[in-house]
Amino acid sequence: MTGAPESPTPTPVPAAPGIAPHQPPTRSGLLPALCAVQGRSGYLSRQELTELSRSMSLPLSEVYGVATFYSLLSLAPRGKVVVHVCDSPTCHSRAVQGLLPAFQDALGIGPGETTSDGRFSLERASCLGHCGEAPVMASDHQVHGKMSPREVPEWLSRSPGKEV
Amino acid sequence: MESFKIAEHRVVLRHCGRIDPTRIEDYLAHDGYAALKEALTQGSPTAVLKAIKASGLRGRGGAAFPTGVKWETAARTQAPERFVVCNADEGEPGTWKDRVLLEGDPHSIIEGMILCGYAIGARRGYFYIRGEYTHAIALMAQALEQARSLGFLGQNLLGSGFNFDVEIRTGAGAYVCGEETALLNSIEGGRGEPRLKPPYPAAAGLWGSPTVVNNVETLANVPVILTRGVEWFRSLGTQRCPGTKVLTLSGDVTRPGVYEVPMGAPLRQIIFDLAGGIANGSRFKVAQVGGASGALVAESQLDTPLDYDQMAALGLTLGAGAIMVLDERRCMVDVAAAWARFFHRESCGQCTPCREGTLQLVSILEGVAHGEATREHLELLAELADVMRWTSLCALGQTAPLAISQAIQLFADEFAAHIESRRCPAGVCRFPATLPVRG
Repeated sequence: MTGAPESPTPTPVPAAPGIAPHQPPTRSGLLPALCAVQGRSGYLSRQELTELSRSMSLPLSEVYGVATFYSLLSLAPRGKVVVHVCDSPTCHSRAVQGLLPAFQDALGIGPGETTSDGRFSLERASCLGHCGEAPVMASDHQVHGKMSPREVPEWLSRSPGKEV
Repeated sequence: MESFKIAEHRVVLRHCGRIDPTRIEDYLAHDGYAALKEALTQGSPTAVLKAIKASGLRGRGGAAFPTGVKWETAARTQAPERFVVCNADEGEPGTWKDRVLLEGDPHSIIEGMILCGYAIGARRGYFYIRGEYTHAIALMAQALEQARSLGFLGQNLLGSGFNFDVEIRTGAGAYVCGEETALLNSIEGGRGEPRLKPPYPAAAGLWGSPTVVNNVETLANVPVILTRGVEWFRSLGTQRCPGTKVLTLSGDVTRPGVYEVPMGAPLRQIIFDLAGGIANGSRFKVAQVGGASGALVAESQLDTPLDYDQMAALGLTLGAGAIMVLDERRCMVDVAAAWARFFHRESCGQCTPCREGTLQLVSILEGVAHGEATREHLELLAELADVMRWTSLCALGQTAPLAISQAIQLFADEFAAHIESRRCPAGVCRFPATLPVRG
């Protein structure tokens, strides 16, 4: 159990004294460690993935395999504001003109891309779990429901990405 | 059927909106941790197990497996270590009931989890919460800390000698991790790819140890069953599906939202009484029950009682209780293409029928939506749907073509209009100006 990353889990459970509790294998800390790095740096750089593979004694290919599996993890730098637009069937059927196309038009980028000024990234979300307020989008942990495509330019002008 | 107004019956949701989820004191003042105290001081693991088995509680995540049987399997499997996992990786489109529970009544779920651990002899539990639910994650972390500080988690709980603690693991954006074995792989630090079953997690789960994986709503039922008794619980719902079901209504209804009704309530009353019917004076077209992986319910089937078995007998699903209602303005080809895109995006890529099958579903359905498909494409889709259903490794690939195949049958005229006349009766799909050249 050497070389485990510092604070690999979001809510570490204090080690109970006395009876030894179950110790999950080091490998189990990989996803929490990746989330921690992304939370700190905004994305997962090759250098950080390499360091993680060394500290956790895992092949870089396996670290890469896990890092690329999850859609909230990014291997490229992202914009100051990351816009997640829900494109689930539920939101899709409620937004006939399409919320995602409205963001694409306003930002001039496609899903998975970042504006050249580094202000905005656009992500296609599968379901944000706010279907009663469809169509929805989320940014900086805030969910915005019942959003009309017409509101998109105004929302973008108010968001912090424009204030740089 | 005689028309009657159904009312909500809040059992699982009884605390939501009524207690402050950030204060354990509020939960304690509402019989909170009473079931745990009684079990630890006067009861036994066997008694808890027996009560849950006798209650007839079935898994609320969608599979409807008898909870007590699952617990018993884990308890009886010889192993040095056992685990409890709460599946809070709610990702099914149209479902948000677990988020409401996590954010409104975190301690009920924690108490249910501890009781499960006690019943099966586990010392460790994991909360797997999807990464998108940041508010729920923060609330749950706080609630676990409070439970720990009052001795409901940790060592020698309430002097009983029983040790149990819980750790939160967060997902990072993967629908497939809601599948229990994919979730276990994710906790173990791997890609969230499902495992071949059997063995089921209750026999061999986390690190090969017996593991109970229960949905949020299932665990939230546990304390109230023990507090109010098996007989009371069985007086709710139907004979084979006792209790209530938390439903989420979305789409073209007047009042979308979370509702809890006794099992067996007819869908018609849920949509037209509770949710206020179809919004904007429009007409009902079809409902999808069970999320994107669920089946379509036609108007003629609206009086079907909502319980797992009566739905299944008609080839329908209840799933996790998502009800998405579509009105007559919606184009079924457009919606079917959206389902296909969702499953293609969320397929983990491990098995070929699902990885390639979902891609072909998208290709054919977008072809229909753009007026570029022929009848033969739909025949090919029917064959593909069969292959996916029978050969995909997990439920994602097995259920992906379900609603699509139904839509093609139920709304054959709409598909025909797109294919033969390059016309979208609902006026949603746009067709390229010129016909593509066909070879």
